[in-house]
Amino acid sequence: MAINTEKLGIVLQNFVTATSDVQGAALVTPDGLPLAASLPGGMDEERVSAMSAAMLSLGERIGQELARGGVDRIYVEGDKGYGILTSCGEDAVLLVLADQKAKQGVLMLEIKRAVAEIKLILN
Amino acid sequence: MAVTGYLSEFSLAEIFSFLEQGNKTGLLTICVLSEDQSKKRENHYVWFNQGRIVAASNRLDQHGLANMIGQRGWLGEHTALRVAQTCAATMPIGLILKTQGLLTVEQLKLLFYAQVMRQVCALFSLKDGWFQFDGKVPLPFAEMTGLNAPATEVTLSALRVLKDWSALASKLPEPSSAIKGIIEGKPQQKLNQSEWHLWEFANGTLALHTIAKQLQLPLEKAQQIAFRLVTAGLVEEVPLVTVSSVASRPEATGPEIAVPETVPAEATAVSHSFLHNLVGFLKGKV
Amino acid sequence: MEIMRLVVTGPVGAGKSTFIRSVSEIAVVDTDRQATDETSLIKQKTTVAFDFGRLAFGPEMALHLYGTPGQSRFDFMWDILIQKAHAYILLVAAHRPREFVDARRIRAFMRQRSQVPMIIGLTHMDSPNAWDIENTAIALGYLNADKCPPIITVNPNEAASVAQAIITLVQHSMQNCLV
Repeated sequence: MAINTEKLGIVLQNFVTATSDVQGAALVTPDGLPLAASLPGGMDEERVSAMSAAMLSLGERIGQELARGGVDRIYVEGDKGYGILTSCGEDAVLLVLADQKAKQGVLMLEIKRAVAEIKLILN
Repeated sequence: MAVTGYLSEFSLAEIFSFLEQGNKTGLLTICVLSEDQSKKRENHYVWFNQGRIVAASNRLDQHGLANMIGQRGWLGEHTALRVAQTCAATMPIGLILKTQGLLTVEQLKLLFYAQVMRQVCALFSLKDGWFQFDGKVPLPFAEMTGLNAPATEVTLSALRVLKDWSALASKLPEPSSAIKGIIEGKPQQKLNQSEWHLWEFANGTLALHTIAKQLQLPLEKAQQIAFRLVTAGLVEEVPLVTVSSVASRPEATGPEIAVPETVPAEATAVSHSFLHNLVGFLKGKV
Repeated sequence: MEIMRLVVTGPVGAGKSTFIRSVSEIAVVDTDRQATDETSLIKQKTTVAFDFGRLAFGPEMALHLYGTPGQSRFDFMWDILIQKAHAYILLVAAHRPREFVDARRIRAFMRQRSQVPMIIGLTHMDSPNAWDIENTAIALGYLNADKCPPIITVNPNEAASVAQAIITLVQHSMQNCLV
Protein backbone atom coordinates (compact mmCIF):
# COMPACT_ATOMS: atom_id res chain seq x y z
CA MET A 1 0.00 0.00 0.00
CA ALA A 2 1.27 3.44 -0.86
CA ILE A 3 2.26 5.66 2.02
CA ASN A 4 -0.11 8.57 2.47
CA THR A 5 2.47 11.36 2.38
CA GLU A 6 -0.21 14.01 2.37
CA LYS A 7 -1.56 12.73 5.65
CA LEU A 8 1.96 12.53 7.08
CA GLY A 9 2.55 16.13 6.11
CA ILE A 10 -0.62 17.22 7.87
CA VAL A 11 0.29 15.30 11.04
CA LEU A 12 3.72 16.94 11.11
CA GLN A 13 2.34 20.37 10.45
CA ASN A 14 -0.25 20.00 13.20
CA PHE A 15 2.40 18.76 15.57
CA VAL A 16 4.66 21.75 14.88
CA THR A 17 1.88 24.34 15.16
CA ALA A 18 0.15 22.78 18.16
CA THR A 19 3.18 22.04 20.34
CA SER A 20 4.66 25.06 22.03
CA ASP A 21 8.37 25.72 21.48
CA VAL A 22 8.61 23.21 18.63
CA GLN A 23 10.14 24.88 15.58
CA GLY A 24 10.13 22.11 13.06
CA ALA A 25 9.86 18.40 12.36
CA ALA A 26 10.82 16.03 9.61
CA LEU A 27 10.06 12.42 8.89
CA VAL A 28 12.81 10.69 6.91
CA THR A 29 13.73 7.25 5.62
CA PRO A 30 16.61 5.42 7.32
CA ASP A 31 18.76 6.05 4.22
CA GLY A 32 18.23 9.77 4.50
CA LEU A 33 15.43 10.79 2.16
CA PRO A 34 12.59 13.09 3.20
CA LEU A 35 9.12 11.56 3.62
CA ALA A 36 7.43 14.65 5.01
CA ALA A 37 8.64 17.82 6.66
CA SER A 38 7.59 21.03 8.29
CA LEU A 39 10.81 22.94 8.81
CA PRO A 40 11.81 26.52 9.62
CA GLY A 41 12.51 28.59 6.52
CA GLY A 42 16.04 28.31 5.19
CA MET A 43 16.49 24.70 6.23
CA ASP A 44 17.01 22.36 3.37
CA GLU A 45 14.78 19.32 3.68
CA GLU A 46 17.13 16.99 1.88
CA ARG A 47 20.09 17.97 3.99
CA VAL A 48 18.18 17.70 7.24
CA SER A 49 17.05 14.23 6.19
CA ALA A 50 20.56 13.05 5.36
CA MET A 51 21.87 14.37 8.66
CA SER A 52 19.09 12.67 10.61
CA ALA A 53 19.83 9.35 8.97
CA ALA A 54 23.56 9.63 9.62
CA MET A 55 23.01 10.54 13.25
CA LEU A 56 20.52 7.75 13.88
CA SER A 57 22.71 5.11 12.25
CA LEU A 58 25.70 6.22 14.29
CA GLY A 59 23.61 6.29 17.44
CA GLU A 60 22.31 2.81 16.81
CA ARG A 61 25.83 1.62 16.20
CA ILE A 62 26.96 3.13 19.47
CA GLY A 63 24.04 1.48 21.22
CA GLN A 64 25.11 -1.83 19.80
CA GLU A 65 28.91 -1.63 20.21
CA LEU A 66 28.76 -0.10 23.66
CA ALA A 67 26.02 -2.47 24.80
CA ARG A 68 23.31 0.15 25.26
CA GLY A 69 20.78 -1.91 23.34
CA GLY A 70 18.28 -0.69 20.77
CA VAL A 71 18.08 3.07 20.45
CA ASP A 72 14.79 4.80 21.26
CA ARG A 73 15.92 8.34 20.97
CA ILE A 74 18.92 10.51 20.15
CA TYR A 75 19.20 13.83 21.76
CA VAL A 76 21.25 16.87 20.80
CA GLU A 77 21.16 19.73 23.25
CA GLY A 78 22.65 22.98 22.05
CA ASP A 79 22.60 26.43 23.59
CA LYS A 80 19.88 27.43 21.16
CA GLY A 81 17.66 24.42 21.47
CA TYR A 82 17.15 20.73 20.99
CA GLY A 83 17.28 18.26 18.14
CA ILE A 84 15.58 15.00 18.97
CA LEU A 85 15.55 11.91 16.79
CA THR A 86 13.03 9.20 17.48
CA SER A 87 12.70 5.91 15.67
CA CYS A 88 9.28 5.35 14.07
CA GLY A 89 9.56 1.68 13.30
CA GLU A 90 11.75 0.22 10.58
CA ASP A 91 10.89 2.61 7.81
CA ALA A 92 11.06 6.06 9.29
CA VAL A 93 12.79 8.38 11.72
CA LEU A 94 11.27 11.50 13.23
CA LEU A 95 13.39 14.58 13.82
CA VAL A 96 12.00 17.30 16.06
CA LEU A 97 13.60 20.71 16.50
CA ALA A 98 12.64 22.69 19.58
CA ASP A 99 13.95 25.91 21.09
CA GLN A 100 15.68 26.17 24.46
CA LYS A 101 12.51 27.20 26.27
CA ALA A 102 10.87 23.84 25.61
CA LYS A 103 9.95 21.79 28.64
CA GLN A 104 11.54 18.44 28.11
CA GLY A 105 8.88 16.34 29.77
CA VAL A 106 6.09 17.87 27.73
CA LEU A 107 8.15 17.63 24.59
CA MET A 108 8.82 13.92 25.07
CA LEU A 109 5.17 13.23 25.69
CA GLU A 110 4.11 15.15 22.60
CA ILE A 111 6.70 13.34 20.50
CA LYS A 112 5.48 10.00 21.78
CA ARG A 113 1.95 10.87 20.69
CA ALA A 114 3.07 12.08 17.29
CA VAL A 115 5.09 8.89 16.77
CA ALA A 116 2.06 6.74 17.59
CA GLU A 117 0.00 8.68 15.08
CA ILE A 118 2.69 8.44 12.40
CA LYS A 119 3.10 4.71 12.94
CA LEU A 120 -0.60 4.24 12.30
CA ILE A 121 -0.30 5.95 8.92
CA LEU A 122 2.86 4.05 7.99
CA ASN A 123 1.43 0.63 8.71
CA MET B 1 39.19 -1.08 -25.04
CA ALA B 2 35.69 0.13 -25.55
CA VAL B 3 34.52 3.68 -25.14
CA THR B 4 30.90 2.86 -25.26
CA GLY B 5 27.66 3.37 -23.37
CA TYR B 6 24.24 4.95 -23.48
CA LEU B 7 23.56 8.63 -24.00
CA SER B 8 21.19 8.54 -21.05
CA GLU B 9 24.20 7.73 -18.87
CA PHE B 10 27.02 9.63 -20.56
CA SER B 11 25.60 12.56 -22.46
CA LEU B 12 26.71 13.74 -25.88
CA ALA B 13 28.09 16.89 -24.23
CA GLU B 14 30.27 14.74 -21.97
CA ILE B 15 31.39 12.56 -24.88
CA PHE B 16 32.39 15.59 -26.94
CA SER B 17 34.21 17.08 -24.02
CA PHE B 18 36.04 13.77 -23.51
CA LEU B 19 36.98 13.45 -27.19
CA GLU B 20 38.24 17.02 -27.38
CA GLN B 21 40.19 16.92 -24.15
CA GLY B 22 41.70 13.57 -25.12
CA ASN B 23 42.65 14.88 -28.59
CA LYS B 24 40.93 11.83 -30.01
CA THR B 25 40.92 10.81 -33.66
CA GLY B 26 38.37 8.33 -34.97
CA LEU B 27 34.70 7.65 -35.51
CA LEU B 28 31.85 8.19 -33.09
CA THR B 29 28.82 6.09 -33.93
CA ILE B 30 25.46 6.91 -32.41
CA CYS B 31 22.73 4.38 -32.76
CA VAL B 32 19.34 5.91 -32.09
CA LEU B 33 17.16 3.77 -29.89
CA SER B 34 13.57 4.12 -30.86
CA GLU B 35 10.65 2.74 -28.90
CA ASP B 36 8.98 1.97 -32.17
CA GLN B 37 10.49 -1.43 -33.04
CA SER B 38 9.15 -1.42 -36.59
CA LYS B 39 11.19 1.64 -37.48
CA LYS B 40 14.47 1.18 -39.27
CA ARG B 41 17.48 1.55 -37.03
CA GLU B 42 19.02 4.93 -37.49
CA ASN B 43 22.73 5.55 -37.13
CA HIS B 44 24.71 8.75 -37.04
CA TYR B 45 28.43 9.10 -37.58
CA VAL B 46 30.74 11.87 -36.45
CA TRP B 47 34.42 11.85 -37.36
CA PHE B 48 37.07 13.42 -35.17
CA ASN B 49 40.62 14.48 -35.87
CA GLN B 50 42.70 15.47 -32.83
CA GLY B 51 39.60 16.32 -30.85
CA ARG B 52 38.04 18.41 -33.60
CA ILE B 53 34.97 17.43 -35.59
CA VAL B 54 35.83 17.09 -39.28
CA ALA B 55 32.75 15.42 -40.74
CA ALA B 56 29.34 14.00 -39.96
CA SER B 57 26.91 11.82 -41.81
CA ASN B 58 24.15 9.29 -41.46
CA ARG B 59 25.78 6.89 -43.89
CA LEU B 60 29.10 5.11 -44.13
CA ASP B 61 29.38 4.80 -47.91
CA GLN B 62 31.28 8.07 -48.15
CA HIS B 63 28.66 9.51 -50.49
CA GLY B 64 27.16 11.95 -48.02
CA LEU B 65 29.09 15.07 -48.94
CA ALA B 66 28.96 14.41 -52.71
CA ASN B 67 25.24 14.02 -52.29
CA MET B 68 24.95 17.37 -50.55
CA ILE B 69 27.00 19.07 -53.26
CA GLY B 70 24.79 17.51 -55.90
CA GLN B 71 21.61 18.63 -54.14
CA ARG B 72 22.80 22.19 -54.17
CA GLY B 73 23.49 21.95 -57.91
CA TRP B 74 27.07 23.15 -57.53
CA LEU B 75 28.44 20.06 -59.23
CA GLY B 76 26.87 16.92 -60.57
CA GLU B 77 26.76 14.33 -57.81
CA HIS B 78 28.54 11.92 -60.16
CA THR B 79 31.34 14.36 -60.83
CA ALA B 80 31.77 14.97 -57.15
CA LEU B 81 31.75 11.24 -56.46
CA ARG B 82 34.31 10.63 -59.19
CA VAL B 83 36.63 13.24 -57.78
CA ALA B 84 36.06 11.71 -54.39
CA GLN B 85 36.94 8.23 -55.57
CA THR B 86 39.93 9.11 -57.69
CA CYS B 87 41.86 11.46 -55.52
CA ALA B 88 40.39 11.51 -52.07
CA ALA B 89 42.69 8.95 -50.52
CA THR B 90 45.07 11.50 -49.04
CA MET B 91 43.27 14.77 -48.63
CA PRO B 92 39.79 16.08 -47.93
CA ILE B 93 37.64 16.24 -51.04
CA GLY B 94 36.65 19.80 -50.16
CA LEU B 95 40.25 20.95 -50.49
CA ILE B 96 40.63 19.14 -53.82
CA LEU B 97 37.49 20.73 -55.23
CA LYS B 98 38.68 24.10 -54.03
CA THR B 99 42.14 23.81 -55.61
CA GLN B 100 40.53 22.68 -58.87
CA GLY B 101 38.37 25.78 -58.74
CA LEU B 102 35.16 23.72 -58.60
CA LEU B 103 33.97 25.07 -55.25
CA THR B 104 34.55 28.36 -53.46
CA VAL B 105 35.55 28.83 -49.85
CA GLU B 106 32.08 30.23 -49.15
CA GLN B 107 30.44 27.15 -50.57
CA LEU B 108 32.65 24.93 -48.43
CA LYS B 109 31.68 26.88 -45.35
CA LEU B 110 28.01 26.45 -46.15
CA LEU B 111 28.55 22.74 -46.69
CA PHE B 112 30.37 22.38 -43.39
CA TYR B 113 27.63 24.25 -41.61
CA ALA B 114 24.92 22.03 -43.05
CA GLN B 115 26.90 18.82 -42.67
CA VAL B 116 28.43 19.26 -39.24
CA MET B 117 26.84 22.09 -37.30
CA ARG B 118 23.26 21.37 -38.25
CA GLN B 119 23.40 17.57 -38.20
CA VAL B 120 25.42 17.28 -35.01
CA CYS B 121 23.47 19.91 -33.12
CA ALA B 122 20.31 17.96 -33.91
CA LEU B 123 21.79 14.93 -32.13
CA PHE B 124 21.71 16.78 -28.83
CA SER B 125 17.94 16.49 -28.70
CA LEU B 126 18.05 12.68 -28.83
CA LYS B 127 16.41 11.16 -25.78
CA ASP B 128 18.61 8.10 -25.77
CA GLY B 129 21.00 6.22 -27.94
CA TRP B 130 23.91 3.88 -27.80
CA PHE B 131 27.33 5.25 -28.59
CA GLN B 132 30.69 3.84 -29.46
CA PHE B 133 33.95 5.52 -30.26
CA ASP B 134 36.45 3.70 -32.47
CA GLY B 135 39.93 5.21 -32.58
CA LYS B 136 41.14 2.96 -35.38
CA VAL B 137 38.94 4.27 -38.18
CA PRO B 138 40.87 6.22 -40.87
CA LEU B 139 39.72 9.76 -41.71
CA PRO B 140 36.88 9.79 -44.29
CA PHE B 141 38.46 12.15 -46.82
CA ALA B 142 35.49 11.85 -49.20
CA GLU B 143 33.19 13.24 -46.47
CA MET B 144 35.49 16.07 -45.44
CA THR B 145 35.17 19.70 -46.47
CA GLY B 146 38.59 20.40 -45.03
CA LEU B 147 37.03 22.56 -42.35
CA ASN B 148 36.72 21.55 -38.72
CA ALA B 149 35.34 22.71 -35.41
CA PRO B 150 36.44 21.98 -31.84
CA ALA B 151 33.99 19.47 -30.39
CA THR B 152 33.06 21.66 -27.44
CA GLU B 153 32.34 24.62 -29.71
CA VAL B 154 29.68 22.48 -31.35
CA THR B 155 28.43 21.50 -27.88
CA LEU B 156 28.16 25.15 -26.86
CA SER B 157 26.18 26.05 -29.97
CA ALA B 158 23.92 23.04 -29.56
CA LEU B 159 23.20 23.59 -25.87
CA ARG B 160 22.47 27.29 -26.38
CA VAL B 161 19.45 26.38 -28.47
CA LEU B 162 18.46 23.18 -26.65
CA LYS B 163 14.83 23.35 -25.53
CA ASP B 164 14.30 20.15 -23.59
CA TRP B 165 16.90 19.69 -20.86
CA SER B 166 15.17 16.81 -19.09
CA ALA B 167 17.71 14.22 -20.27
CA LEU B 168 20.52 16.29 -18.75
CA ALA B 169 18.83 16.98 -15.42
CA SER B 170 21.15 14.77 -13.36
CA LYS B 171 24.22 16.24 -15.04
CA LEU B 172 23.55 19.88 -14.23
CA PRO B 173 25.59 21.42 -11.43
CA GLU B 174 23.63 21.46 -8.16
CA PRO B 175 22.06 24.78 -7.07
CA SER B 176 24.10 24.62 -3.86
CA SER B 177 27.39 24.10 -5.71
CA ALA B 178 29.81 26.79 -6.76
CA ILE B 179 31.73 26.85 -10.02
CA LYS B 180 35.44 27.39 -10.24
CA GLY B 181 37.58 28.28 -13.23
CA ILE B 182 40.10 25.62 -14.21
CA ILE B 183 41.95 27.44 -16.96
CA GLU B 184 44.70 30.02 -16.90
CA GLY B 185 43.59 33.45 -18.05
CA LYS B 186 40.53 34.11 -20.18
CA PRO B 187 38.50 31.54 -22.11
CA GLN B 188 39.52 31.10 -25.73
CA GLN B 189 36.01 30.06 -26.78
CA LYS B 190 33.52 32.54 -28.08
CA LEU B 191 31.15 32.92 -25.16
CA ASN B 192 27.83 34.66 -25.25
CA GLN B 193 26.85 37.37 -22.82
CA SER B 194 25.20 35.18 -20.19
CA GLU B 195 28.12 32.76 -20.27
CA TRP B 196 30.51 35.64 -19.68
CA HIS B 197 28.42 36.85 -16.78
CA LEU B 198 28.52 33.45 -15.10
CA TRP B 199 32.21 33.08 -15.84
CA GLU B 200 32.83 36.23 -13.80
CA PHE B 201 31.46 34.35 -10.79
CA ALA B 202 33.54 31.21 -11.30
CA ASN B 203 35.60 31.66 -8.15
CA GLY B 204 34.50 28.59 -6.21
CA THR B 205 32.84 30.45 -3.34
CA LEU B 206 29.31 31.45 -4.40
CA ALA B 207 26.54 28.89 -4.73
CA LEU B 208 24.75 28.84 -8.08
CA HIS B 209 21.45 29.84 -6.53
CA THR B 210 23.13 32.98 -5.13
CA ILE B 211 24.72 33.74 -8.48
CA ALA B 212 21.36 33.26 -10.21
CA LYS B 213 19.78 35.74 -7.82
CA GLN B 214 22.51 38.29 -8.39
CA LEU B 215 22.26 37.97 -12.15
CA GLN B 216 18.46 37.88 -11.95
CA LEU B 217 18.39 34.64 -13.84
CA PRO B 218 16.01 31.74 -13.23
CA LEU B 219 17.97 29.11 -11.27
CA GLU B 220 17.42 26.54 -13.99
CA LYS B 221 18.97 28.84 -16.60
CA ALA B 222 21.98 29.47 -14.40
CA GLN B 223 22.47 25.73 -13.99
CA GLN B 224 22.27 25.24 -17.74
CA ILE B 225 24.79 27.98 -18.44
CA ALA B 226 27.09 26.56 -15.78
CA PHE B 227 26.79 23.14 -17.40
CA ARG B 228 27.86 24.67 -20.71
CA LEU B 229 30.94 26.16 -19.06
CA VAL B 230 31.70 22.78 -17.48
CA THR B 231 31.47 20.89 -20.78
CA ALA B 232 33.57 23.55 -22.47
CA GLY B 233 36.31 22.65 -19.99
CA LEU B 234 36.33 26.13 -18.46
CA VAL B 235 35.02 25.49 -14.96
CA GLU B 236 34.41 22.67 -12.56
CA GLU B 237 31.57 22.20 -10.12
CA VAL B 238 32.58 22.54 -6.48
CA PRO B 239 30.05 21.35 -3.92
CA LEU B 240 29.91 23.73 -0.96
CA VAL B 241 29.17 22.59 2.55
CA THR B 242 26.34 24.94 3.27
CA VAL B 243 26.62 25.23 7.02
CA SER B 244 24.85 28.56 6.85
CA SER B 245 21.82 27.34 4.92
CA VAL B 246 20.84 24.85 7.59
CA ALA B 247 21.79 27.02 10.54
CA SER B 248 20.32 30.32 9.40
CA ARG B 249 17.02 30.93 11.09
CA PRO B 250 14.50 33.58 10.21
CA GLU B 251 14.78 35.06 13.70
CA ALA B 252 18.55 35.13 13.59
CA THR B 253 19.73 38.60 14.55
CA GLY B 254 22.04 40.76 12.54
CA PRO B 255 22.96 40.53 8.89
CA GLU B 256 23.65 37.11 7.47
CA ILE B 257 27.36 36.62 7.52
CA ALA B 258 28.96 34.09 5.26
CA VAL B 259 30.32 31.37 7.48
CA PRO B 260 34.03 31.21 6.79
CA GLU B 261 35.16 27.91 5.51
CA THR B 262 36.47 25.85 8.34
CA VAL B 263 40.19 25.63 8.07
CA PRO B 264 40.96 21.94 7.80
CA ALA B 265 42.75 20.81 10.91
CA GLU B 266 45.78 19.27 9.29
CA ALA B 267 46.15 15.78 10.57
CA THR B 268 49.40 15.40 12.42
CA ALA B 269 51.93 13.85 10.10
CA VAL B 270 52.86 10.22 10.49
CA SER B 271 56.50 9.25 10.76
CA HIS B 272 58.55 7.70 8.02
CA SER B 273 59.30 4.60 10.01
CA PHE B 274 55.56 4.15 10.47
CA LEU B 275 54.98 4.33 6.73
CA HIS B 276 57.84 1.90 6.03
CA ASN B 277 56.48 -0.55 8.55
CA LEU B 278 53.01 -0.23 7.08
CA VAL B 279 54.19 -0.89 3.54
CA GLY B 280 56.20 -3.89 4.74
CA PHE B 281 53.17 -5.22 6.59
CA LEU B 282 50.86 -4.78 3.61
CA LYS B 283 53.33 -6.43 1.25
CA GLY B 284 52.89 -9.55 3.33
CA LYS B 285 49.22 -9.49 2.42
CA VAL B 286 49.59 -9.10 -1.34
CA MET C 1 49.95 5.03 19.52
CA GLU C 2 50.65 6.19 15.99
CA ILE C 3 47.66 6.14 13.67
CA MET C 4 47.33 6.84 9.97
CA ARG C 5 43.84 7.67 8.77
CA LEU C 6 42.89 6.87 5.19
CA VAL C 7 39.60 7.88 3.64
CA VAL C 8 37.95 5.75 0.98
CA THR C 9 35.56 7.83 -1.10
CA GLY C 10 33.78 7.70 -4.44
CA PRO C 11 30.32 7.55 -6.01
CA VAL C 12 27.59 5.11 -5.01
CA GLY C 13 28.43 1.50 -5.73
CA ALA C 14 32.12 2.05 -6.49
CA GLY C 15 33.04 -0.54 -3.84
CA LYS C 16 34.03 1.57 -0.83
CA SER C 17 32.45 -0.56 1.91
CA THR C 18 33.66 -3.77 0.26
CA PHE C 19 37.16 -2.31 -0.02
CA ILE C 20 37.31 -1.70 3.72
CA ARG C 21 35.72 -5.02 4.60
CA SER C 22 38.34 -6.85 2.54
CA VAL C 23 41.30 -5.70 4.63
CA SER C 24 39.98 -4.74 8.03
CA GLU C 25 41.04 -7.06 10.81
CA ILE C 26 38.11 -6.01 12.97
CA ALA C 27 34.47 -6.45 12.11
CA VAL C 28 33.83 -3.31 10.10
CA VAL C 29 31.77 -0.69 11.86
CA ASP C 30 29.28 0.03 9.15
CA THR C 31 26.20 2.24 8.97
CA ASP C 32 24.36 0.49 6.17
CA ARG C 33 20.73 1.21 5.53
CA GLN C 34 18.26 -0.14 3.05
CA ALA C 35 18.51 2.02 -0.07
CA THR C 36 15.24 3.55 -1.26
CA ASP C 37 16.49 6.02 -3.87
CA GLU C 38 18.02 5.30 -7.30
CA THR C 39 20.88 3.63 -5.41
CA SER C 40 18.61 0.61 -5.00
CA LEU C 41 19.02 -0.08 -8.72
CA ILE C 42 22.68 -0.83 -8.09
CA LYS C 43 22.63 -2.37 -4.63
CA GLN C 44 20.36 -3.01 -1.67
CA LYS C 45 22.20 -1.26 1.10
CA THR C 46 23.98 2.02 1.31
CA THR C 47 26.29 3.71 3.81
CA VAL C 48 24.70 6.70 5.56
CA ALA C 49 27.41 7.87 7.98
CA PHE C 50 30.67 6.04 7.50
CA ASP C 51 32.38 2.66 7.50
CA PHE C 52 35.28 2.09 9.79
CA GLY C 53 37.96 -0.57 9.51
CA ARG C 54 41.31 -1.06 11.22
CA LEU C 55 44.63 -2.75 10.63
CA ALA C 56 47.05 -2.95 13.56
CA PHE C 57 50.56 -3.86 12.49
CA GLY C 58 52.61 -3.19 15.56
CA PRO C 59 52.09 -2.70 19.26
CA GLU C 60 51.79 1.04 18.78
CA MET C 61 50.87 1.32 15.13
CA ALA C 62 47.54 1.13 13.34
CA LEU C 63 45.94 2.07 10.06
CA HIS C 64 42.38 3.38 10.25
CA LEU C 65 40.17 3.26 7.19
CA TYR C 66 37.09 5.45 6.87
CA GLY C 67 34.61 4.93 4.05
CA THR C 68 32.31 7.81 3.10
CA PRO C 69 28.72 7.67 1.85
CA GLY C 70 28.50 8.07 -1.93
CA GLN C 71 25.45 10.31 -2.33
CA SER C 72 26.08 14.05 -2.27
CA ARG C 73 23.30 14.59 0.28
CA PHE C 74 25.81 13.22 2.80
CA ASP C 75 28.50 15.74 1.88
CA PHE C 76 28.67 16.90 5.51
CA MET C 77 30.08 13.43 6.25
CA TRP C 78 32.65 13.86 3.46
CA ASP C 79 33.66 17.07 5.14
CA ILE C 80 33.94 15.57 8.63
CA LEU C 81 35.95 12.57 7.43
CA ILE C 82 38.40 14.36 5.13
CA GLN C 83 39.39 16.89 7.81
CA LYS C 84 41.47 14.38 9.74
CA ALA C 85 42.62 12.21 6.85
CA HIS C 86 46.27 11.69 5.99
CA ALA C 87 45.45 10.55 2.47
CA TYR C 88 42.52 9.30 0.46
CA ILE C 89 41.60 7.04 -2.39
CA LEU C 90 38.82 7.93 -4.82
CA LEU C 91 37.15 4.76 -6.09
CA VAL C 92 35.42 4.96 -9.47
CA ALA C 93 33.46 2.19 -11.20
CA ALA C 94 35.06 2.18 -14.65
CA HIS C 95 32.06 0.54 -16.29
CA ARG C 96 29.55 3.20 -15.22
CA PRO C 97 30.50 6.40 -17.11
CA ARG C 98 27.31 7.90 -15.72
CA GLU C 99 29.11 8.32 -12.42
CA PHE C 100 32.24 10.03 -13.71
CA VAL C 101 30.53 13.36 -13.09
CA ASP C 102 29.85 12.34 -9.48
CA ALA C 103 33.47 11.32 -9.01
CA ARG C 104 34.54 14.74 -10.29
CA ARG C 105 32.19 16.43 -7.85
CA ILE C 106 33.58 14.48 -4.91
CA ARG C 107 37.15 15.20 -5.97
CA ALA C 108 36.45 18.92 -6.34
CA PHE C 109 34.89 18.88 -2.89
CA MET C 110 37.84 17.10 -1.30
CA ARG C 111 40.40 19.21 -3.12
CA GLN C 112 38.81 22.37 -1.79
CA ARG C 113 39.07 21.11 1.78
CA SER C 114 42.22 19.09 1.92
CA GLN C 115 45.61 19.06 0.27
CA VAL C 116 46.49 15.55 1.41
CA PRO C 117 47.82 13.04 -1.16
CA MET C 118 45.26 11.05 -3.11
CA ILE C 119 45.11 8.29 -5.68
CA ILE C 120 42.34 6.96 -7.89
CA GLY C 121 41.28 3.32 -7.85
CA LEU C 122 39.26 2.03 -10.80
CA THR C 123 36.92 -0.81 -9.91
CA HIS C 124 34.87 -3.19 -12.08
CA MET C 125 37.67 -3.23 -14.65
CA ASP C 126 36.76 -6.82 -15.54
CA SER C 127 33.42 -5.70 -16.94
CA PRO C 128 33.26 -5.78 -20.77
CA ASN C 129 31.97 -2.19 -20.71
CA ALA C 130 34.77 -0.86 -18.54
CA TRP C 131 36.69 2.14 -19.82
CA ASP C 132 40.46 1.76 -19.73
CA ILE C 133 42.73 3.75 -17.43
CA GLU C 134 43.83 6.25 -20.04
CA ASN C 135 40.31 7.14 -21.17
CA THR C 136 38.92 7.24 -17.66
CA ALA C 137 41.68 9.67 -16.69
CA ILE C 138 40.61 12.00 -19.51
CA ALA C 139 36.94 11.65 -18.59
CA LEU C 140 37.83 12.57 -15.01
CA GLY C 141 39.56 15.69 -16.30
CA TYR C 142 43.23 14.67 -16.02
CA LEU C 143 44.63 16.02 -19.24
CA ASN C 144 48.16 16.55 -18.13
CA ALA C 145 50.09 13.44 -17.14
CA ASP C 146 52.30 15.48 -14.78
CA LYS C 147 49.35 16.63 -12.73
CA CYS C 148 47.58 13.30 -12.68
CA PRO C 149 47.60 11.34 -9.42
CA PRO C 150 48.43 7.62 -9.61
CA ILE C 151 45.53 5.71 -11.14
CA ILE C 152 45.34 2.01 -10.39
CA THR C 153 43.02 -0.89 -10.96
CA VAL C 154 41.61 -2.42 -7.81
CA ASN C 155 39.24 -5.26 -7.04
CA PRO C 156 37.58 -4.39 -3.72
CA ASN C 157 36.60 -8.02 -3.21
CA GLU C 158 40.20 -9.23 -3.07
CA ALA C 159 42.24 -8.54 0.02
CA ALA C 160 45.50 -8.68 -1.96
CA SER C 161 44.28 -6.16 -4.50
CA VAL C 162 43.09 -3.81 -1.77
CA ALA C 163 46.41 -4.19 0.10
CA GLN C 164 48.23 -3.28 -3.12
CA ALA C 165 46.04 -0.20 -3.53
CA ILE C 166 46.81 0.93 0.00
CA ILE C 167 50.54 0.38 -0.62
CA THR C 168 50.30 2.63 -3.66
CA LEU C 169 48.51 5.28 -1.62
CA VAL C 170 51.01 5.08 1.25
CA GLN C 171 53.99 5.20 -1.10
CA HIS C 172 52.45 8.15 -2.90
CA SER C 173 52.10 9.88 0.49
CA MET C 174 55.76 9.15 1.27
CA GLN C 175 56.88 10.79 -1.96
CA ASN C 176 54.81 13.83 -1.12
CA CYS C 177 56.43 13.98 2.32
CA LEU C 178 59.91 14.07 0.80
CA VAL C 179 59.18 16.88 -1.62
